[in-house]
Amino acid sequence: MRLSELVRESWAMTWFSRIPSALIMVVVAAMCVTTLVTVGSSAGAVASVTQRLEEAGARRLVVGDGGRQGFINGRTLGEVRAVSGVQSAHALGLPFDAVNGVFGAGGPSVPVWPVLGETSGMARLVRGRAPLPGEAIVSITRLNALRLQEPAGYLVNPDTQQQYAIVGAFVPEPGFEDTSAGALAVAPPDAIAQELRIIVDDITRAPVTVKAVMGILSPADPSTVRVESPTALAQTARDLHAQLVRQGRSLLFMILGAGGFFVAAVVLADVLVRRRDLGRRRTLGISRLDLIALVVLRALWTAALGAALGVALGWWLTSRQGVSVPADFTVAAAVLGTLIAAMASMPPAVFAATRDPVAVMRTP
Amino acid sequence: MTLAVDSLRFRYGKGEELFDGLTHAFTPGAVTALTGPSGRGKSTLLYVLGLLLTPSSGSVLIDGREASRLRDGARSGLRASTIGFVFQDSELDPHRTVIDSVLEPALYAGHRKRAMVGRARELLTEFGLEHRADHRPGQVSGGQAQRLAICRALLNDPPIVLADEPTGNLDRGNAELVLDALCGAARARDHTVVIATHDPYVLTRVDEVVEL
Repeated sequence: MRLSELVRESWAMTWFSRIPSALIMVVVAAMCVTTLVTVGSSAGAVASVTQRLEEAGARRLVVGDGGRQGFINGRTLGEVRAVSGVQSAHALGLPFDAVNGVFGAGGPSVPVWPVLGETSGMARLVRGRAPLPGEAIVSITRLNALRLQEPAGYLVNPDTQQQYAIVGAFVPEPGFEDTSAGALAVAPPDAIAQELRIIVDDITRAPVTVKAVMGILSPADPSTVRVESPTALAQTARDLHAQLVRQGRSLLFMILGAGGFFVAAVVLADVLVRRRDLGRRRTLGISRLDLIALVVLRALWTAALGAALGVALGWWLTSRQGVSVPADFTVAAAVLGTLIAAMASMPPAVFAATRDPVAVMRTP
Repeated sequence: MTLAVDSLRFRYGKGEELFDGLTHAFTPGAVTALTGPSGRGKSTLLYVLGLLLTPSSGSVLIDGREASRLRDGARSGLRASTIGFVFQDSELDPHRTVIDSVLEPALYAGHRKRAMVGRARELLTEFGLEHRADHRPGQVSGGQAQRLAICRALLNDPPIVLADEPTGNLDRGNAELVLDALCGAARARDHTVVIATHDPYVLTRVDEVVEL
């Protein structure tokens, strides 16, 4: 048979046997809806967990020099930044309170974090310019607290009377959200910092990065060193991810298996009911291969329609539940549902094609 | 195109052997009846000739070439293009219009349906059924349905036409019309027509009789 005629004939067959076609459509639609509502939700959860783990805040490694040993300085900072797997590294001193210099000691105060080196990577400038040593930038949310209309004027440390010119306003980058409560002041290059914040490229490589960083810092007394590492979080994430994927996979196999079984049963019942029709076609000259293709194509069309219906319904249901199913998963579910239906229709199609047409035609 | 059988034997499973080494050449342009008592294999011989059953031994020769042991694809191809088949119950697809039923063998012979519509209409006109073209099989009489089955069998202009008790369910008037159509096809188109029948009236209308 010509391919175009085969396609047309399979369409006609779909239309003529509406009940089995509708049943296949319903089974595949149910398969897709169930997949999206169950496995799709798991996939959404996996994607959400993965996304949250990929956020910079979750990839933050903090080393604190509780004993003021001085191992966090300009030199070690430079070396840490050069370690592969380190996306960014910033060294901060202990925060101190500073007041708006215009109002003096009785004025409103904010915490100020001394920063070793530049502030880019930890703060996104929204007004003004990047600070130089001895200058400060204020969190955009704290300008009002300091009674400032614009990032201008200066901050004063009431204890040391040290002044910091305000040159800009910032929004903190992920991992530095706590600095939104105050200001960042650039410390002199030879200053010593008490905290090193590192954002790693990949949370799964955090343990290796921790080792490399600690090797560079090599504190004389490790007992006073505080390390906050995402290693445990990475392990939990990996476990959770693996568990969700495992669960999703088993569930998917069950759904597809059950759906495939039902489709096969419907197609088998259909070819048994239509045995005279198929026997007539064989007698009139259709080849076994064309007959198999006809039965499979018929299942394919109805399955594709069912998959489209199921995906639409599944999207509606999951969106009502507030679950976001990834688009690629949705497409994969529709394609898989359609292919499973086509594959499930294969054994009944082969059965129909290999039946003896003479026995069929001579049986009333 | 010639149709012949040589030393033909056939057996269903462990059942009785049929045909007893039958050798016969069917005459092109003639109508041959296969007859004999029930159980002697009239319809079975027809299906063997139609390459739907493989003989236990011996061969079916189409144009002198052994055809019964070809692969399924080749046999299906031969059936679609070389052999027309008329069933006892016409076997028209109840879901299709009459003209679509007549066009069915064209699909299996690899023709475009559209290209064969003219030919199908010609046949319907020739058999006085053109006004039934868009009807469903349920809307035509038994005799008309059987004549439609003959139209379907002749669509691809096959040199061989096999008919299994084509008048079995018809009254004498309709049987005459159907036999006229089959005999006319054999004589006008030089087709080899083979009819399996136990109807004595059919035997009076055919050119040759093979007694099984």
